[in-house]
Amino acid sequence: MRRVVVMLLLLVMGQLHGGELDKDLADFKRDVLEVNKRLLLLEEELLFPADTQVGIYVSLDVGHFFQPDSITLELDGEVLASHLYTEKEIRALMNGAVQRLALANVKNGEHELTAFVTGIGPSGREIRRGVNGQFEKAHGRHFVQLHIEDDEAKQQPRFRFRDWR
Amino acid sequence: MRGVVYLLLLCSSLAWARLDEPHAVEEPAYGEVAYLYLQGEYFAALTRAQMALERGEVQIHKPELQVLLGAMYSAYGMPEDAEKVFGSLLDTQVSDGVAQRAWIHLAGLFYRQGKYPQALETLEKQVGEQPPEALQEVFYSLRAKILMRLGRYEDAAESLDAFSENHPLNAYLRYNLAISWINGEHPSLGQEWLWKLANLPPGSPETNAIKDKAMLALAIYMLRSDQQERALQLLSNARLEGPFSDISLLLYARALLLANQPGKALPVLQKLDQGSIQRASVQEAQLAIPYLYESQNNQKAARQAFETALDRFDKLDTYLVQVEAHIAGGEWFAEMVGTPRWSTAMDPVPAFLPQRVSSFPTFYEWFATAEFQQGWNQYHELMRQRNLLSLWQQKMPAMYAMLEAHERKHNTLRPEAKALLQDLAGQDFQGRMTRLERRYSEAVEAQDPLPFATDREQRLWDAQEQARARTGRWGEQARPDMVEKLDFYKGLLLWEMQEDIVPRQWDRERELKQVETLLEQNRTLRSRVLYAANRVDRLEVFQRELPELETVLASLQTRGEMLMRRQQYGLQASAYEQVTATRARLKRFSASAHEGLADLYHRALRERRKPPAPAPGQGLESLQVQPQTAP
Repeated sequence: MRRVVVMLLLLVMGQLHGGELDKDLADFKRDVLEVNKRLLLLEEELLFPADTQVGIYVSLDVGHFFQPDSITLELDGEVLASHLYTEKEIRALMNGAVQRLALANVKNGEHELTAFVTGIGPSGREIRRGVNGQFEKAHGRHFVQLHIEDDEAKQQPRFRFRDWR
Repeated sequence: MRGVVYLLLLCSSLAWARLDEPHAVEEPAYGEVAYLYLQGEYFAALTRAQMALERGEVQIHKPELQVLLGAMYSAYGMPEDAEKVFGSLLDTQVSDGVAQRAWIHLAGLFYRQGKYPQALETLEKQVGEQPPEALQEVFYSLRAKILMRLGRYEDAAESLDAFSENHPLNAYLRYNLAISWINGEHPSLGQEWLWKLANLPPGSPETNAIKDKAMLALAIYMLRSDQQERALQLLSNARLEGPFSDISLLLYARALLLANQPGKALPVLQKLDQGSIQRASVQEAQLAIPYLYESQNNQKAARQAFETALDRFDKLDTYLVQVEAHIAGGEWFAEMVGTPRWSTAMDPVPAFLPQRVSSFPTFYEWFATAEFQQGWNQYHELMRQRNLLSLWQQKMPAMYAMLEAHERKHNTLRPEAKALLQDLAGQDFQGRMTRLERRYSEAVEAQDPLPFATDREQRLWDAQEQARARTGRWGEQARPDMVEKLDFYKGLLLWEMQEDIVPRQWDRERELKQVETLLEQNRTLRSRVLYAANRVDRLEVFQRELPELETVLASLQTRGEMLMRRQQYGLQASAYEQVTATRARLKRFSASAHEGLADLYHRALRERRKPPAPAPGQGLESLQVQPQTAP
């Protein structure tokens, strides 16, 4: 008997709240998004204040000659980040999206970045490359881009760091 | 369900229309949002987009980011927010490309809300008949779906012809249209389209699934329209794997029976009978077998098969009663959910699959419905959001600790900074610089070489001045040529200094400029130190915000828990309905089996007196072909 009552209640609730639930879910998602945004902004401000923040991004343009497998990034000789790429991530990069590889705190002045990139090059050959770059950290947030592009003339990928302000 | 996935993929390509083109992203924040969006991580992408807009990180790509934001709101089940974003975007001056994307998204939103005339009007008025090439696929597929919903099948067919036939979504839409035609005004055209779909070259699982579906629909149509032989031929090539294998076997058995080949139908049904009795097609086969034996005058086997069927139906019913109790108690749901992989809403989305527990086959078909998938995904997404909230709650002490560290640092450095600023103010660098510049200008104007003399020259000049003064004090005792000599040396020194006065002035001017630059840097640093030393508001905001956020997190956790429970109840209610429907079907099947068994006994009794004629075709009611409805 108890089971029947519980099930009847479930059925009634299901019917009563079906449409309303979608709206409540949307409201909930909105509020969670808002609080998540506020917390992330706060956390970033506490961990990586704008004055010392440097962001390192990876982009792939267009990716005919290279598909990344992994990247290890060093900042002033210290390993800052390592990343293994999934198929989805490679597809996103090949479609022009940009990956934030790392955020770090640095003092103003000259800094050195080194990236070790592995991946699949033309004709399915494995490629391992090291790429070096310098940047001068000044006042405010600083962005550096590791740009992987197709070198049509050499039919090879080309790797370089560049400032992205 | 796969159709929904394709639709989402198509929407992705609509909102982010770059494929194999040179790099066009000029702002990292926009590229980062796209990175998350293209991986289907809508929550993370939405958060990042909101952060970028709040911090003003995106200027050049702002309209594109808003299209992306609207598309993500729409895909993430927040239609009101999506409508608001598109509305505000379309009220501003944006490029034609961005506007058309926004209008198509808006039409898609109306379609999902069931506002079909409004969706069609939006497409026709705002995008027109000929959309740009990059948008054609999504435009024509959306238009076809709307037209199908409005019952304008001919127009829908034209729309489908206009976009890539190789796209899997096109095949799904064609299938739906063919079913609508078969059940409506153009059955022969529907048959033709289904035939084309059934004969697609085998390929991806999606293509194979649509091929199977089309073939089954075609077979059902042929059986309904007295084309048994063609149906039989078609079904003899059906795949015995994949989600449609059971129904293929059942239809094949039906076709064999209709073609009067019961001997061939029996092994087919027996093969089907080896599956789980929880499956509807197996239940149907279980009932058909005894009737088949009976039609072959194998009374003994028929009786045994009836008894087996009744026994299996009875056991299944008892099991379903238990399942009902488990559904009501919540154990069934907990068993289905199992222990999902722990992730938060910010992480990549894992697959949310129901666990393969003992009751899985009962709900097999329901699990494949859009209604179940939507509820199931929402339940898991709520779980991921609550995990995220828990994570933040766990991080709160660390956030407070970080804030305290910032305060400590601020409190230590602030007095030092103030003292330094005071010291700098006392140095009057600017005043000294102004005086130096004035002296330089006066010296240049007077062409006076002395201010530009080197240290050695200055010492020499001073010595000569001193010697001249002493010589003057000697009066007549001084040698007459001494004064002349001194004047000569002084003139010589002046001449030497005058000779390169311009380079000397340039050098000094350069030095002054360097000092000016240093002073400028000093001023910038001072202003930054001044700003940092007096920037108490930032920390005050953090101090206010953290406890407030902690409260919001707690309240959202409670709301999330309630919503999860409501979502769970909704799914449990639907599961209960599934069980009720299965039990009702079992009752009908049991009644039919009892009836068949009674007839068998009755005939056996009559046979003792005189041999009765067999009743051909009896018991085939369960194999009647039901009209196929459009999915």
